[in-house]
Amino acid sequence: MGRYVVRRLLQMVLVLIGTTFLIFSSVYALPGDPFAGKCGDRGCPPEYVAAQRARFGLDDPLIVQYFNYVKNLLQGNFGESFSGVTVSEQLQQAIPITLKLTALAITFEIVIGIGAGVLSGIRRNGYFDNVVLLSTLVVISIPIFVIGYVLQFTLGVKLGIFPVTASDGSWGQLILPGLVLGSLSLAFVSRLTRTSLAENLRADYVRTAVAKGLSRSRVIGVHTLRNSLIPVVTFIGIDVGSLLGGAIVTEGIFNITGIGGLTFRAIRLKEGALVVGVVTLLVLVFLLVNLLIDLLYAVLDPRIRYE
Amino acid sequence: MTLIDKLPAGGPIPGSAPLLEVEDLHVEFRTREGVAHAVNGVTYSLHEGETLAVLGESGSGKSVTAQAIMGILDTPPGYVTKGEVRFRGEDLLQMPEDKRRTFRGRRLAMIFQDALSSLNPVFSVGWQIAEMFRVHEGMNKKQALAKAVELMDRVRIPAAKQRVGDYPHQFSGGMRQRIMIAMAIALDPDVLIADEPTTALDVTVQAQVMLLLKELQQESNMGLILITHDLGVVADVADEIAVMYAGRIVERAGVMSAYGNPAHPYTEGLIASIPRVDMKGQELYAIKGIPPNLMHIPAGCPFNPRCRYAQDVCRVDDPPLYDVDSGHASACHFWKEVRDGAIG
Amino acid sequence: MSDVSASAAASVPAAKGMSQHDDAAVSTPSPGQPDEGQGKPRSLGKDAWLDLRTNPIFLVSATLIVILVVMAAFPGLFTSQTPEAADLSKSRVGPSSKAWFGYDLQGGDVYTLTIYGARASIIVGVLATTFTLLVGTLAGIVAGYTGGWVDSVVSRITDVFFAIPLLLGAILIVFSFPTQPGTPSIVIILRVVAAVAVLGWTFVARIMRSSVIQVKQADYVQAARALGAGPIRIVLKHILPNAMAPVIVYSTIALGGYIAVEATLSFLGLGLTPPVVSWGVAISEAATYLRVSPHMLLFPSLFLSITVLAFIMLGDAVRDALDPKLR
Repeated sequence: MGRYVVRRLLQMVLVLIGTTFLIFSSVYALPGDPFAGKCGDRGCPPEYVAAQRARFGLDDPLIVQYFNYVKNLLQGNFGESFSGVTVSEQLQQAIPITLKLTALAITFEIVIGIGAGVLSGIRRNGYFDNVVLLSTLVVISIPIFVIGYVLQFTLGVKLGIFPVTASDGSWGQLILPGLVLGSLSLAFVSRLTRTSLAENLRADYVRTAVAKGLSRSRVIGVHTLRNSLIPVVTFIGIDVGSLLGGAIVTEGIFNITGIGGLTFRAIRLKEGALVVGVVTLLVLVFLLVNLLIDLLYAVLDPRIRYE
Repeated sequence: MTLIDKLPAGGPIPGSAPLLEVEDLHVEFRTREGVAHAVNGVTYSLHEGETLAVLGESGSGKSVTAQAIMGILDTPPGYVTKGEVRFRGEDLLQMPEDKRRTFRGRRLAMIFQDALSSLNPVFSVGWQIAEMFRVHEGMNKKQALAKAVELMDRVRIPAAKQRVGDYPHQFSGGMRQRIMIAMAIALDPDVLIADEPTTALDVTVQAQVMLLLKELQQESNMGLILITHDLGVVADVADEIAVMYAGRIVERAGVMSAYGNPAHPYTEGLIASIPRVDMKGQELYAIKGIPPNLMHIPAGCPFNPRCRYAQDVCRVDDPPLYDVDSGHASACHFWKEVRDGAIG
Repeated sequence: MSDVSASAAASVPAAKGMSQHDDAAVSTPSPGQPDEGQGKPRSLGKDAWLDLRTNPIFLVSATLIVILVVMAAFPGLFTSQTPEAADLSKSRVGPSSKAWFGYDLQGGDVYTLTIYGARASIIVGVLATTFTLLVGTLAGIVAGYTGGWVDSVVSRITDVFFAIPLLLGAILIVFSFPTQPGTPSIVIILRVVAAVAVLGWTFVARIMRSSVIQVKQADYVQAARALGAGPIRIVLKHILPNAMAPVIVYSTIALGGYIAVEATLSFLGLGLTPPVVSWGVAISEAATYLRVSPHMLLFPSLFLSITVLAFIMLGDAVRDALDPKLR
């Protein structure tokens, strides 16, 4: 198990280097003006450009620039927008709100997604199964911002069940946005759970478990579930990426002052430094989450530990 | 020293009531393309201490019969349409499922061919064996695990105590099969059904596993149903043989009579197909033709398209089981010709 | 068991024709084996097509897609107006018999704009899918078939791209290539395609790689190698046809996904910007007026969702048809 952990960590470092380099070069190192379109419609003020050039050594060779960039990242310096406020300052207040939102989304994803998936996987082609299949299909087809607006309109404005905006970021206000954010992932998780469960129910070891005289609920709940959840856990890890992207849209629609909302505004205002800084941070978070998921995966599936 | 010399003297206890009686069992599979008649009127019985070998090709219905006995048939698409399965006199097929489940694992147990896919890969072997005690006997984890170690010792897995926490993929094929056997005999069942237990194993390992099964049987007097297509294994360990073809029993006999005086062309063909050491340089014998499509079983005797004794009556009349001798029956109109002219 | 007693001789599986399959399965002829009365064996592709032809989900989604493609190629068939025509006096007027979908903020006919919006979305979807399919398949085959250090290098590169979530990466790319007003539409479209495709190929590559690794171990591949077939031939003739199935299924569904991502980017103001007509832009403009003029959001959203739905349904139907386990 220890070897597996070490190997994953090493891989992670490699990928981190590659990814940060990729981001860095695509933003700063491509031919053309690296500051084009990054400071709103009027272009970047010359003092700002000069300061950035000096701070990041943008006239230095590429490798040196990259090292400076990484050095800054490690120090928690994600850049500075042209208004003079650093990215990290703006992030500090926004992070807890987004964490709450994402936690809600993931909870919905896991509870409703896996729950619906298990129930429909047990009775494939049954009535409930068809309802789940149809509704997940519809949810997957409708882009998240449409779902956001429609739910905000129907449940918030028309029916008044949920608050329309979430300006102070309390839990109650975040329920509807959390549901919206998690909706796509929820649909995928339930489909995946359903397929995985149905496949595992046909496995030989299930036949053995039945032959052992175990009750149906034990065969499904204990023997099959653990095997079935393995691909689901992997998916949830990868899906965190889409949650991070979706947070930008959701927070924008519901006026939430989290990281996503920040980015949403910054995109509208063309504040390049903020956008790039936040996206970089989110990518790093994504990598970290995936590492944790990989480790969790090893706990669930003993075969992996000995690879 | 051959296996048969090592084997403990055993065999059915004379005069005892049958442990398990399968009577006129019919099983069909309903699929999109039609109905496949997998089991068509199978009758056999098993006594304490007896080893019954059920022989046949794939598609003969031997495994489906076993699954119907255990009640683990995939329904849908499989359905038991007729017949009785009596365990110590009680018909299992008529029982409500919760009552029937109390027999499964406890009184009737089954082991399967591929131990790697038949064991749950994410739980340790000790956990899976101990589960029998935790679920059926209400033992706590510690006690159950101790019992599991005992069983692993009994099936001769070396260093059982250290290995009880290992996972199935960490064992060799023969060891895994022993673990399945340990799980099956955990609660001292009366009947053990072994569905091709050694087919996937090396020849030497096969012998060890069969020896283990026989010894366990001798210790507890359980009835053993051995499903196989391997005539060599059968010769060593079986007391009774039931040969199946196209879902029915075509010959039933004690092991000596079956090998010495086969009374059905199919059995005769099977025995003749075994390559012999003294036949070097000659052409190997094979029964011509292929097994029938279970959705379209030929009229009359199902074996008639491939049979060298076939006459017109065979294409029309489905032969019943004729009595050849006491304890020897054959479903062939011309059993006499077959028995007397047997190639042996 | 060569030491078994003489009466039973050596125990080789007795009669020819005895196989080791689980005989609980119905004994119908296995694929490739001729049976009395059935003639030529059927390939998986042909079987799949026969299945699809009668599958209502396939028929419905395929029809929808054909309609959408026609709409994208020949919008003039569906509407006589042009998307540029706008009459400010009609701003936000609701649906009527003259304008089925009503008017948008600038007074443009929502119906016409929606029809023309199909073109941009379909083009983005098709181009993005083509690119990801080509690059991903190539990478996957190279990594999966060659193995060794080549596999490691390609896999690590894939990991690096894979580590950037699609939407976030697309935002980055779009930000790196800002457009000035006056940029030709084709460049705007290509920018979005690039934003999506540069990260999307990784999924295809991964699927292809694991598919190739599985197929590589099959007996018929070993047989081909033993017969002296060179690697190119093996890849093209044996591996590719058999490994393609999961990739095709994924790409069909992903096409719908790319259209949705494009709409989201346009909604954020980063994707297709005017003068390109797009559903995403229409929806984003209509959002603030949802309460008073829902028709402006409703119709583009409907078309967008149906388009995405059609591709996902198609992918589902194809997957069910190609999955041998479900037979």
